[in-house]
Amino acid sequence: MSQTFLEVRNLVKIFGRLTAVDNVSFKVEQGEVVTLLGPSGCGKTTTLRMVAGFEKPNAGEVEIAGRVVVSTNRRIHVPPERRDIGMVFQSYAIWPHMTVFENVAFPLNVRRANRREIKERVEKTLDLVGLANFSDRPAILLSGGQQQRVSLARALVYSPSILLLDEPLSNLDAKLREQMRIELKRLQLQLGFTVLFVTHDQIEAMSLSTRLAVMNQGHIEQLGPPQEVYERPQTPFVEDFLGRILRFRGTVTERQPSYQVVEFDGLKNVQVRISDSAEQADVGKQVLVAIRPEHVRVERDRGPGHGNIIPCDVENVLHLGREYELVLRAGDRLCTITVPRESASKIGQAIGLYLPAEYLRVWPASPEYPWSQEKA
Amino acid sequence: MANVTVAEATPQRRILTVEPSSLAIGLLFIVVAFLVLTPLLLLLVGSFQLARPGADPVYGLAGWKRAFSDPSILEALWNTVSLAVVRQAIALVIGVILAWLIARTDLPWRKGLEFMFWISFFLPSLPVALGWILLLDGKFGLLNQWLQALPFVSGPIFNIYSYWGIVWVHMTTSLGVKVLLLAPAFRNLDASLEESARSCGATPVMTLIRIVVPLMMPAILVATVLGLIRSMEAFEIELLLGVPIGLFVYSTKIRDLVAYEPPDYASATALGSIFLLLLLVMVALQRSYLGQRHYRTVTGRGFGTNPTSLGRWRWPIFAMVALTAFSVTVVPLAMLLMGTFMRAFGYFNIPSPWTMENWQRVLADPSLIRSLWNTIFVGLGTAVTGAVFYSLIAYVVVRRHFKGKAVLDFISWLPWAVPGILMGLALLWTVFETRILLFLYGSVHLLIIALFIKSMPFGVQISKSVLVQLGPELEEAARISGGSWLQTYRRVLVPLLTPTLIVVGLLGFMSAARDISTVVLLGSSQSRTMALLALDYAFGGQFERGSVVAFMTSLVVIVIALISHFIGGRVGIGQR
Repeated sequence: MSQTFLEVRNLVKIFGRLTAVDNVSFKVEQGEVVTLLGPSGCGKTTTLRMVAGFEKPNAGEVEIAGRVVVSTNRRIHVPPERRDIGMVFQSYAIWPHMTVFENVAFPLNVRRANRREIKERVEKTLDLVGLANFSDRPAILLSGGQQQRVSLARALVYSPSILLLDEPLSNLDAKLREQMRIELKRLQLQLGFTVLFVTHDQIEAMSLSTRLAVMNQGHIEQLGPPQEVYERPQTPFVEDFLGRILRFRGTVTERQPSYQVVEFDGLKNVQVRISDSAEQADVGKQVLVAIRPEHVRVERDRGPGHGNIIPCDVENVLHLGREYELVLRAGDRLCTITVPRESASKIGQAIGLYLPAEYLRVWPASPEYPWSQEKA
Repeated sequence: MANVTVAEATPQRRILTVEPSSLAIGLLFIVVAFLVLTPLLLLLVGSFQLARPGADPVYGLAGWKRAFSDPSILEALWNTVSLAVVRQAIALVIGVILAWLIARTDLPWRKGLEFMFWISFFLPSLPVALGWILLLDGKFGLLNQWLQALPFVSGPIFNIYSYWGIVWVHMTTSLGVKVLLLAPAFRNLDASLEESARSCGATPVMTLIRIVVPLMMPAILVATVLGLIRSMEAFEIELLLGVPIGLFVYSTKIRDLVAYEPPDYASATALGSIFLLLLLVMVALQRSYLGQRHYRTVTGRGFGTNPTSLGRWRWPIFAMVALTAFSVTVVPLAMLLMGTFMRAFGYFNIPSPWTMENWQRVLADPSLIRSLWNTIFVGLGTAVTGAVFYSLIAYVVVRRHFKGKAVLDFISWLPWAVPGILMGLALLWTVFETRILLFLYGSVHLLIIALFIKSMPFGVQISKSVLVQLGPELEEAARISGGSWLQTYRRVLVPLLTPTLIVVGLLGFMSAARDISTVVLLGSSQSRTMALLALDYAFGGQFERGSVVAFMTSLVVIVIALISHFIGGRVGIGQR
């Protein structure tokens, strides 16, 4: 049985009239990296701050390493310093009046460790994050990436039960971010620490997480291994938020146990078979059909008889270096796909867009999903 | 001052469009430099001049010799330093705690409390001192009487006419300044620096001591040096509470040397010069310190700075802070108001102690009417000249490119380092020495000049900060459309700056209503303002009338402070 390190039960946080976190529950097992992913304002940071103890929830419980640290029913609220957590802040929060060593030694100092132990552990941790030679440097003189490493070392040096990362990479430039992401993954694999990670960057979330929770408007839309969430999104929001997506509106014309047929709006007589059985709609219903751009294929030969091919005209071709971006017109709507060099077409060319039945997904075109109404 | 000279060959049109601006700047420069520098230089020269003003000058070192040998002057020097240091030390510790509580914790009513400290900053010292006399006077102080009613107390406990009495009364403004300066600095501190300490195991107190205070050190140091410099301004409290018991500080000593026959200008100016030099050194140190290091503690992002929870201490701490806030504002003013209705100031157990007579008498007193008009005249004079000149100086310093701009900036800021009493002494000496200016002596115009110089640094500073915020594009657009710089200033900037000009003017008016130390040596019985009248009453032992006038000045000052706060808040002054 794997040990639960962090458990969040029915957390609610209300700011004025806004419910920032709405009944959120999840568990983090030992050695796991669980990511809260979502757009800004979705409640992910507030959830993290309630776990850390910087926000008091209006309802709910938090348990860290088998100890209840928050419980509104039992009136428990353990202050942050007694939760045995480590935290890395978006702004790094490096104390500018201390050296690198003093920054990292601070948590051990407040725990009254002896000097030899402090020196040993700080040096070991600085070595781990690749700052062995920066010990005596005033922290303020470090670059952003180095400050981030100090911040990480400071959170790891006392081996807390769980590490909380609040958008730790978002203040770094693109190259450094990639480098730090890989480094973080390496450290996590090497040391096996447990992480609750908050980010709005899906690449970070996909690549670092053991499991990933997509949050929207205060609640968790879907929680699972990143691959599963990406491949089998359970809500249109998740599908939309993770990766790019092409969307078509249409009407269901035929419904079978193993597949359904949808006719696209504005494209008379273009029907596609869809083998997704998760979302079945009644015949005559308006639906939204979605597919990830990497799953479509450009067919030069657009002759009839092939199933699931949409006739398109190439409106524009943009050279992106390694690949080409095609702007396609299908009836009255435009869509953009990226194709490898060899599939590049010319402006004005007529092509077919092949949508494999197994990758198409159907969502009800309901007002609950505002973006499903747009005319994109 | 690049293009002041008019080249003869320049065409007519050029003279009209370019030269007036340079000429105006040159003129402004000369006026400001003359007003600020002449008195200070003459003060230094005066310390070597032994003859009475008006007589043929005799030069010598006797003034300086006396200043360094007269035991009473040396004692005044020592008292000044000791009082300043003790006051600052106490105010700093309490001020840091107050600022932190107000800016970073969930203290109840913290906005209201901050506002009270803000008010206390503007309160004139004289009314506050009078209010505390009623409570803490050795003989009739209310608090002393109450405490003596207790069985085990014999004799008065407090005596406000003492070293510690002076320190106590000064707390009003000293704490106000500290809160005013430090609360915003605490507020701007990146919350994640505190939170990161909490998350890795530090308690709130540990976080305060190990993280917050060290991070705030630059701001705290600035506030300390500023407080030390400002404490050289102190005059009326020491005059009222110190002189009766023979406790002099340098400012009251200067008054002592000048006010009584025969006046000893040489010693007074020598003593003044010592402090002038001392202050210039302190200010220079502070400036260079400010220039070289400050931590980048503001990162812009802040997940709504969450206040530190005080937990179960919340209400006890609130009670203490509220008590402090009341002690520096409401308590002295309420006592003062009570005093205005007393037949004999402080005597509560005489038959029928309450009366309206003080108000009736004072309101019918021609000297009050006179001082009221003087206050209005001096106030308006300072306000209008201030608003015009300060904004012009600020404009030239911020926007115009000419070589002397840094010098002008420095000169306009120099009076900040000169305590009011020294400015007054220097001006008085200038009037006597130059002879041609003698007609100013005893006139309200001299008071206007003094206050104009004294308020210059603050007025220019406010105008500069607003101008910097405005951005040069607005004017550049006006220039592109064909306006000259003077037209641009008048038609584009002045309308935009109007709220700022009003605030600057109001603050000038306020200084006329509240300032004592700058004008005390300059005002005659014909030209004294209400604040001076209140001082004359109070120092002459007429506390009843003094308290009436002092209460009126406090009201005027508070009303002006509130108005300028309201206007200033809307244009972003003080929210930098």
